[in-house]
Amino acid sequence: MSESNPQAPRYEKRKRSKAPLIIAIVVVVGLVAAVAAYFALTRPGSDATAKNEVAVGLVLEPTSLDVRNDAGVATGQVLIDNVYQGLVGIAAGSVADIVPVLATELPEVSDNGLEYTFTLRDGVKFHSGADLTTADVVESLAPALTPETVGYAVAVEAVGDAQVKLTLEAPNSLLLWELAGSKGVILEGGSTDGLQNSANGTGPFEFTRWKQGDSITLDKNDAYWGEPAGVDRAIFRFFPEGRAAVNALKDGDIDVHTALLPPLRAEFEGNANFDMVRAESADVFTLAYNNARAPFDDPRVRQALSMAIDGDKLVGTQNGDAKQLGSPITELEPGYTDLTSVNAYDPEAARALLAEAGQQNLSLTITAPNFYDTASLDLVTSQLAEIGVSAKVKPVEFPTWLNDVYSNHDFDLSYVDHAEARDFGNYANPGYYFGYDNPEVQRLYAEAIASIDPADEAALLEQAAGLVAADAPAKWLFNYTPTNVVSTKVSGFPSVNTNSRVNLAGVTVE
Amino acid sequence: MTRFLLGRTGLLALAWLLASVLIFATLRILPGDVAQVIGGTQASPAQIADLREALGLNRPLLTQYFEWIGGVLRFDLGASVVTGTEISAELAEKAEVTIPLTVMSLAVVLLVAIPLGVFAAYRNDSPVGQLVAASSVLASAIPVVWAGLLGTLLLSSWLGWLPSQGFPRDGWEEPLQAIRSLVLPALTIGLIEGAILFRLVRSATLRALDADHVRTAMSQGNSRLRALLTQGLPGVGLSIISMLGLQAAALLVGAVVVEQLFSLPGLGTMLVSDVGERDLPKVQSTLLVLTSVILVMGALVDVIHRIIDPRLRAEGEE
Amino acid sequence: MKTLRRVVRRPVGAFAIAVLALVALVSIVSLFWLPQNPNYASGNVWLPPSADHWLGTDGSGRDIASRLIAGSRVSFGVALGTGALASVIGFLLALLGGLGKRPVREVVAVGIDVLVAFPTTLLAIMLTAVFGSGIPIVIAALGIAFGVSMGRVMRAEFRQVQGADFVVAAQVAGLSRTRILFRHLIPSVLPVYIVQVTWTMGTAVLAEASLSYLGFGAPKDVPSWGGMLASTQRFVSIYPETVLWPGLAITITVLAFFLFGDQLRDALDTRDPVDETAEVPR
Repeated sequence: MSESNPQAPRYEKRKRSKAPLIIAIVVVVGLVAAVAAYFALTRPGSDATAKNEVAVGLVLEPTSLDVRNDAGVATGQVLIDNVYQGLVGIAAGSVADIVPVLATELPEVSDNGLEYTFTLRDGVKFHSGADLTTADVVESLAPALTPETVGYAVAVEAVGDAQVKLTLEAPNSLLLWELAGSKGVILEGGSTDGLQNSANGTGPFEFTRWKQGDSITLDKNDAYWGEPAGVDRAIFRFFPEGRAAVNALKDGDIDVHTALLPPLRAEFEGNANFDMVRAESADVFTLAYNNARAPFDDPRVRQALSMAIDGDKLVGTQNGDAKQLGSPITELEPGYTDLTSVNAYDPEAARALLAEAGQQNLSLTITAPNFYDTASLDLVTSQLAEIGVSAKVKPVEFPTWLNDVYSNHDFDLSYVDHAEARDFGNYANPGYYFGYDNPEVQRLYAEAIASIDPADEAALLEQAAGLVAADAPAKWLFNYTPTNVVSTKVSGFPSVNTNSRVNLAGVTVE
Repeated sequence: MTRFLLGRTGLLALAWLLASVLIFATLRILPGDVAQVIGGTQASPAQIADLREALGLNRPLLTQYFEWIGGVLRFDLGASVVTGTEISAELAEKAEVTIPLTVMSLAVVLLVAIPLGVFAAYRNDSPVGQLVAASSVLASAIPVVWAGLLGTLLLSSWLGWLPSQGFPRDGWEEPLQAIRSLVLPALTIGLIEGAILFRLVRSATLRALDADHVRTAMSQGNSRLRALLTQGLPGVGLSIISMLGLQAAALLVGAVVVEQLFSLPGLGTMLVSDVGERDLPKVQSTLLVLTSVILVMGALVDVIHRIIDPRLRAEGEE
Repeated sequence: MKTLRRVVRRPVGAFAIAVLALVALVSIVSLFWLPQNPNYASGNVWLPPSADHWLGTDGSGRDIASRLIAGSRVSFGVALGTGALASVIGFLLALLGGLGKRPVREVVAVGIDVLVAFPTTLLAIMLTAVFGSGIPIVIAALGIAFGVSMGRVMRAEFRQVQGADFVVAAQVAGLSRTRILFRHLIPSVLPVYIVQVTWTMGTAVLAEASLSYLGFGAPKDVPSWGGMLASTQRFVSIYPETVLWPGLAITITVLAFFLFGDQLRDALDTRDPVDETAEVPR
């Protein structure tokens, strides 16, 4: 199509005019467009053939279906409870109450708190058709519960055909919590081979398909051992960008969306077809300081940064879908007290502390995964600037965050949502990426998890949380309590901690 | 004709080879250590070594290149380093969105550009014709993203005719929904790209109106319109066809931005997220596939042009 | 100068020049003064326009007017940078492909044809995949892509001028090659070049906006018009006015570049191109 010289065509060639061809093309194109326009303008009526399925919109898509080796919560959010199960699970409507699942009841615990004996449920089958055996349990749990993964040794052995015994070296109240999470899921033969792109568990739903960048489809498991699922099919769709979710909800393409981006709530206010449900959660948006590294090894610097940030304004950036926090323990977890007055917003005092520490010209980098809404981060950097701290946000992909911050501790400040419940232990573990090393906190925490009485445990945790709050190893920006938009056609959708797991047992669709 | 076909095929092969070398060189050689780029700044040396082994980076570059090309020619595009899925299968799945989108936007382009272009040229002396021409300059200055957002506001938020974003969960199993969700994106690309084709149609029609054979037809007592339609438009049609290759390429690329804007699970969205995840092998294969499509379309258009253009058919080579 | 005066005298030309001058002025002023810190997030989100915030605030509580003003320097900088890089590449390719020895000429010609088919956006994506995102990468990608299409147009121009009578006469008169090049060849392709570079700069502003929108352009802490579109787009149906301003700024700037190019073409009386559209780089 370069410089072809348009020569006058020879007239004798003109006998067969090309006009009909052109007209034909125009007509065909016109017809296509007319049909398209017809489709566009005739809005499809409500689905007459109501299928018994529920479609749930989520923000984050897993990068792998390997539920055990995924460091985020995206995989577990979809697959735990629905496809994969453990000996125990988390009671509906709570964040941390343990109930038996594949075990017939909560374990018998020996008096010294060291031995846990579980009795396996009878007649449980994997989706592959194989029966659940004690061997599966042993092979699943033994490699998952090691000092490297949970911080303490657990001996796992089968007792007869129906029982499994776990033996600890020291009492630990968190063992059941771990067993209810991704480390406790029971895999067939304990193997994760081929499970990066597929799933095979014992739950009420079986894995059908993962359409990358779009959705995960689960179908009802007809051979389920327990109460069968209330829907024939469950589809999880991923909407990293909020507006598509709004449209999908309005069009009936999804029935529920968890954690709708706060400013988008306006789209559903006064819409009678949807309920907006505030989901209580253990999500703590955490601005972590690298405590092991200067200048954060000086508590005055940490306290100054914490005091520079106005928690009230932060809640405002979330359109109220958040609660202020003064410690890493949220209301739903044992050990909570209101500590928001500790290191509360006070820029004057913050500046004074920095001056005292001789750190007036700090220049810091905040490493943050790039999928979060940036409104709160923008506020944080601006408020830090007010006390003379220049902070630059470095948005990274989540795997990079895991690598740089989580694994290699190479960061100044880190911004991430700690969605897991009962994760206070991170502040008692100097090897965690916070690098926070306070022997008193560690002692209190060890005592707390070793205590057999839950009330003692809560009191000790409360004490430890008070120390941590004052010492400010991180700023707990807010407890995110996301709004789930639920179609009125759906009943029984969980309303607690849906950012970590969405248990569809008991969900029905009209 | 045979000579032309052979020559054009040769040029196509040459262009494809060059493009593949360019892509390979940029994505495999320029970064220095690809494994380091994929692994990120702080991956452990052992992880990097594993990755290097898995990607075959230890072998000579030429071997790597020929293995890649050989695979591509057998439609084996390798696997993603992030998710481990087959690239060709995923491309096929995403193409189910991108190809219909491109075809629909082409329809919009033709529907906008041809009638308006001919009209604006035919009425070149009237204010209406000038106005249409001026609006085309304006349209070509609008950023695609903004055009899409304004379209969303008008057709989706205010009039509620079309969905604002997304693709139905069952895809083409719900053809009506699927087409509806592509209308706004197709209009967005189509109007912007249509403005460019419009300018070509208009100038080609102006030339046609001025051409000897059209004037002759007029002097023989045909009306200006009739003379244009019967004598002038075939030439215009040829100019349009000769532009279609570039146009289709532009539409395909326009889809990258527009798919992102409308959250469509197509090739563009996939490519953008793969770049973010540094899935270089996947980006490399995807880019080559897209480039191949563009090159083949260009060649096909040339051949079709050749077949139906009486002037070129009568001549020999060049 | 005479040409410029001719452009200014027409209303469209005057409009284009006025807009471009304004954008240039605003981007220079923004280096020294802005109504507010464009990155300062007050936490007072989505405020309506007021005396403090002329255009209101965005979802982080940042002043939209200041971001808009600060964004002009990214757009204008990318336009200038791309124009410069594309000129260098364009001239180089055109000289080699138009005036070089026959084998060189043909290799360059085929090379240009292949490269022109490689879409700008894909080139930018490819470079981003390797080097990460940033304004220099945008300028590099756009400069290379537009330089190639500029080279194609100017190569044809060189080929044509080379056969013109006055050049042949100069050759016969025994003028040196460099003398002919600078005295005759380059001056006679300059009008085409000037029009090309104007269009290139306009298209660069458009392309930068798209790339910044995709997250491949200006970094998050550098306000840019494309980035503003990206950060407000999901709230378009709730706060439509916040999407209006950056889009309008881009459109008017690009329009000014295009109209200026059109007017220059008319004023310089460069011959009507064969395919008008083939000249506009994309």
